[in-house]
Amino acid sequence: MSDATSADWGDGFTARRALAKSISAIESGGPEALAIEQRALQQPASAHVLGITGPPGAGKSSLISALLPHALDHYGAVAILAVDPSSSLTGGALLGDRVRMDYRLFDQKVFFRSMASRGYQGGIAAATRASVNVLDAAGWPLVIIETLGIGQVELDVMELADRVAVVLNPGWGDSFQANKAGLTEQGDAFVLNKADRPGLENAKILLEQSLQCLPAATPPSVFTTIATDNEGISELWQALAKLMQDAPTAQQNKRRCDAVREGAKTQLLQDFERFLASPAAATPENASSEDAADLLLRFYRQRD
Amino acid sequence: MKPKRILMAKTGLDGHWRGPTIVARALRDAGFEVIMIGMATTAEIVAAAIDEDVDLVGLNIGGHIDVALRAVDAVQAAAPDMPIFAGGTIPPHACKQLEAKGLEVFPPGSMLTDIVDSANRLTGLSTAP
Repeated sequence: MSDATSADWGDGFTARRALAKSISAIESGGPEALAIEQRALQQPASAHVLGITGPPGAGKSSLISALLPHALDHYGAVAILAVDPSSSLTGGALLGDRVRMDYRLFDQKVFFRSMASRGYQGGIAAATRASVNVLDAAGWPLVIIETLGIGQVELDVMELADRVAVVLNPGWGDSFQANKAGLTEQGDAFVLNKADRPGLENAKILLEQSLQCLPAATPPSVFTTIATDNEGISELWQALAKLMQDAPTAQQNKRRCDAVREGAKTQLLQDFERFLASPAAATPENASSEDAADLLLRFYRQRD
Repeated sequence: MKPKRILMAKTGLDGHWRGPTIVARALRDAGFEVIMIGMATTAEIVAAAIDEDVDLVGLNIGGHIDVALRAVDAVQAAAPDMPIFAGGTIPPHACKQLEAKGLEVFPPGSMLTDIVDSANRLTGLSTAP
């Protein structure tokens, strides 16, 4: 185990590097990642988690940059996990979410981490969930998750965040798009960014009509913004802050239960890999799959 | 294997994006995770290198060489184990100054394949000279 398992995640430069290395260890997986996450889960959850999602180029990063001053005023410190896609061909990635950020706000009170999806299909990275728990344990009061540019169903962030804003643009789709399952079913707030583009009114009406059909007492609101001109940003932040304040704590508990479950799954998979590589997995000739399952169960029972 | 992470930053007040974008694309296609931060001050480059826990820092050098040298010093002070390479429109005398600080330098005319080879070497993916 390296320092990342036990190092201080609190204030200061050294701690900052330890925190960053802990997230790298989680991304790499293995026993160290499990140990780090277990350590993080020893503290009660207290951070608010805000998800920002939407299709590529909708303005998610620019919106986060514009919201950041408000978020800092409100929470004092903000951690951002920004996910972009990995190539399924080469494993490489161009992580470009920082390019939109206003670095004048970046000091010891902003932690920004770019994450490649590394083959995970849910719009975030496999390591995002555990990284949120680590940032929470390290005392960051607000964690913003920016998903990669999603399509209609990569909605893991809905389970992970307390509240999620879905970012779309004028001209994004017609009434059929607005009424399809997936993206427009689950957000807590909807944002039509790049509102200076043609088609804003139509997009707003279609989206609001779709949201009114949701089985909620009050349907989610639709906000219009021009992130790069700072237009509509304070109104959006006030609404998001209120949503976060009212978020059920059940979501925080669920985040932790999910983390424990994911940890258990990873542990079992690692054990399974070890089983396959061990002499215990050598099946006799003509063995049935039932015999093989017996071998596996015997291996699991012996692992203590 | 875990992909290696590279920070791509521009030092000084220089808005020429084409070079670092093409280099970032070549590194992406070689399997690296490339984090773009664009124009940044010395403090911003150091903070990004630390938060992103990169295996290598790439500096695209525009403007005055002294600004670039300060960025190199700051990264090396904050993370002595983090290698740095540099590219851009760098005059020969400035290349020597950067090399004297232990950097691999890619002035105009450099081949993308050489830059990728250097990244592989500096992140420990290859031991070829």
